[in-house]
Amino acid sequence: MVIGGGTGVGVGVVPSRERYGTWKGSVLVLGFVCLWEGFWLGWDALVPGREEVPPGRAVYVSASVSFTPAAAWSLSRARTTPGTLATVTRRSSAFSVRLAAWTERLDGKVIQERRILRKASGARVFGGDQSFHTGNGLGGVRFYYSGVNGEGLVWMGWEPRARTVITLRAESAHGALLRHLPEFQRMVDSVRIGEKA
Amino acid sequence: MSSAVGPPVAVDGFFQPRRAAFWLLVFFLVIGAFSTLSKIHLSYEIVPTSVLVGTLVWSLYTVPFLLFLRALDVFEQHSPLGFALAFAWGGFGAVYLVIPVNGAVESLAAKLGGPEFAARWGPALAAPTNEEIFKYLGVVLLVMIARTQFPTILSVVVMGAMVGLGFQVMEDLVYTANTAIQFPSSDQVAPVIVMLIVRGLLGGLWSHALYTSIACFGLGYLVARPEHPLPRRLAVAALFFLLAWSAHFFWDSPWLQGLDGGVFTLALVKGVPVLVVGFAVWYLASREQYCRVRAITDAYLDRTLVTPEEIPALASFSERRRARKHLRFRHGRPAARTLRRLQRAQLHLLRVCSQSGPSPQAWRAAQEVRALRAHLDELTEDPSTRSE
Repeated sequence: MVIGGGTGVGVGVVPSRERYGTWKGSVLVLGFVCLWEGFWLGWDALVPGREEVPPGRAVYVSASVSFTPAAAWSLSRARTTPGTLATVTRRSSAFSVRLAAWTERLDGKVIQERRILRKASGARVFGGDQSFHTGNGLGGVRFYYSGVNGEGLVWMGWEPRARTVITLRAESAHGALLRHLPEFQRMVDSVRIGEKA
Repeated sequence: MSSAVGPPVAVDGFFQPRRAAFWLLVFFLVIGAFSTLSKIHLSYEIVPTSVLVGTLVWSLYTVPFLLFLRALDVFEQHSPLGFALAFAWGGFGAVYLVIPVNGAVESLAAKLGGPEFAARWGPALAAPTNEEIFKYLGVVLLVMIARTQFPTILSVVVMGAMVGLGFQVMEDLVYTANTAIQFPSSDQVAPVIVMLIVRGLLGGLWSHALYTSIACFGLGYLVARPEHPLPRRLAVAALFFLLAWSAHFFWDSPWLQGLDGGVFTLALVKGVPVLVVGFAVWYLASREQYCRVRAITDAYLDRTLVTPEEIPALASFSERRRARKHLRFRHGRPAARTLRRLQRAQLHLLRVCSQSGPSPQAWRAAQEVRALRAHLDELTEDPSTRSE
């Protein structure tokens, strides 16, 4: 039957309705999602990714910023990004050095860091006005935080020539921070700013 | 009735509470929306201006893409709910599923290949593999929910592009918030502008909407061409998925990064080949639409409703536009507007015919076409002829 001219058209072919189920397909899709996620997350959890650092050897965060990990601390490959971040770990503790370009006064970056800790980790932040200076010339402010997953100390320093904020973060499970505090302090003191030899 | 167009098939809507696939899609959409919006809210607490301005900018950015995709969907066969579900899957479902596995793949790249290797190759390894799969799965679920909504390859390609667009826009918003947090000053508007230039203008055309539409060409061939043997359809589906994966991998890889000319040149050199592949895919899908328009016209309509000269123009977005432009030049804007309405009415008639055959709805749609054609004839009539 053709529609056209002035011809009125009555009900022609009754359209067929397809009936089908989607149970099997849905189970397959759900199964695939679970397997895919489980495979990658499981594999990642099984690979340790620690790199031993020989005692006394410096770890370079960038070409100009380095620190020396304390004895028995290993570099975490997954938490290291060349040029901006280096993290060393030991048991449930971690020490990271992060570099970020910053063109304004240090205060603004400190306020932002504290806000991130409060909002993202649900942590309570204490202090913030305590200044620090290391023998290698790094200076700035430090504060303490305590969250659901652990507690830590943050040192934030300003490198005016490179317009860079250097954030040192020491993190431990609850109760372990004090035990590692001397090692953290040694690593903070070891941070050097200067071109790689 | 022409053999090129099958018997009319009633089209299901996308609201199918009796189908398991519908609930699986809703499940991932709900937890995806909760997770993604929580992340955006967290960013809002840290960089509120960036998130607000970013939301506004990326929403406006989406509009022309939406209109363009809607115009390419020749028969406008998908309901707004279908488009909304596709967009939401890309923005919430796929993003939610991708974030942990992308993290795991990049972490593995660092652990097994070292941080330098991960920084260079991590995104190229993680993003195409996980993102293309999860965007594709959304289109698979939508096809399962309302199979009859997808009679042509183009109908699947358009849905794929919509899923990709949802993913792209949400990713852009998340990246904007992250950039604002890492920005070297407290200015919260500048990072939005930077991201609009980098991700919206330099990388927006050859991004997720294009990759997913390339992958979905194969899926369209699988579901809309049942006359071909299954192994062949599966092979075509796999081939186009691989093509989409390769395009995404090429864009994310560090290849050509040392190129002279900066980011702009790099974006063009890497993006234009992807755009060419995407254009070819859309062209192939549109050619199939031409065959379908002709088949439906031959099967159900006489020449007064859709003339043979109008068939090529109806099947192509650019040809329809060209015909309107031509008419506007010769007979003015009102005539071009009426032609636009006539084209839409004709496409609506074709869609109704394909879904319900020569039914009362088709008859009503034909009346509308006749009325608009008569109106257009009045507007384009030669005045000297009229006086006679």
